[in-house]
Amino acid sequence: MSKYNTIQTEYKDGECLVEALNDVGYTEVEVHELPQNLVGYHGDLRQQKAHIIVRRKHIGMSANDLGFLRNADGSYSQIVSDFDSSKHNAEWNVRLKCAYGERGAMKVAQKKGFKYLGKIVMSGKVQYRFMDRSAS
Amino acid sequence: MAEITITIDQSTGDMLFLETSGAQAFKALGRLRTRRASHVEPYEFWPRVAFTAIRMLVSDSSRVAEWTRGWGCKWRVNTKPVGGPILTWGDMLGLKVFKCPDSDTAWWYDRKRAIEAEKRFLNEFFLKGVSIE
Repeated sequence: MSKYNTIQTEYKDGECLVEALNDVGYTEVEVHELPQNLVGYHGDLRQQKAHIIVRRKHIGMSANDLGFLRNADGSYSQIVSDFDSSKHNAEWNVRLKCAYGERGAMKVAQKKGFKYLGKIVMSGKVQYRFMDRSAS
Repeated sequence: MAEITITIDQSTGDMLFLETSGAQAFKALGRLRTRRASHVEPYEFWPRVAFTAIRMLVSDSSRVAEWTRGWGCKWRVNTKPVGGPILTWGDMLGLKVFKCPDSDTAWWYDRKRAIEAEKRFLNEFFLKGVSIE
């Protein structure tokens, strides 16, 4: 009897989140130990704060900063303005989740000493294959 | 050595992996839901009835469950919990052969071999078939 696990991706690893943001095109990402204020499209300081920030100049004309605030449980919540929600829409979020998933899986595998065997892309899915050399 | 896979659904960003001791580490990637994927069960009807009845009464980690895993019988792989088939020789060889119910059901004397075949099939099935929810 086998069991399988489905995972609803949550951003829990700041390093992987930054790498995932790089993967979806934001190569300039700020990481702060203490949360910093986000900046609005007028250059105004917003009340919202975040630990991981993509500044508006890297997002596009008239954009607000995009932020990720680390919660007490270690997960990150995305802070996106209504104005930018058409750019950072559901489709974009799925791309970010996929990128995060890949980065996260690779990091876990590396930490556990798994050998990477490759990936297969099929039917809208990507499968990453590893060899667990410690398993009997 | 054991192969481990993790599958990402590009339409949702969600992930799926078979539960193995090594793959436990992937659990940290998000909110987890564990479900049954398949059963490795006796091939013959009456042993299967007995096996199913016993396993309904005891936990998977019990000594009785362990005893049932050691039965010296032929074993088959039933992937119905994920909407898959009872594995056939065609499934094993990757052939879409003529389906004659039951007569081409694959079986193994060695339960470990059945489990290996089960994992191989499920990893492919997750990639091709089952939707990640």
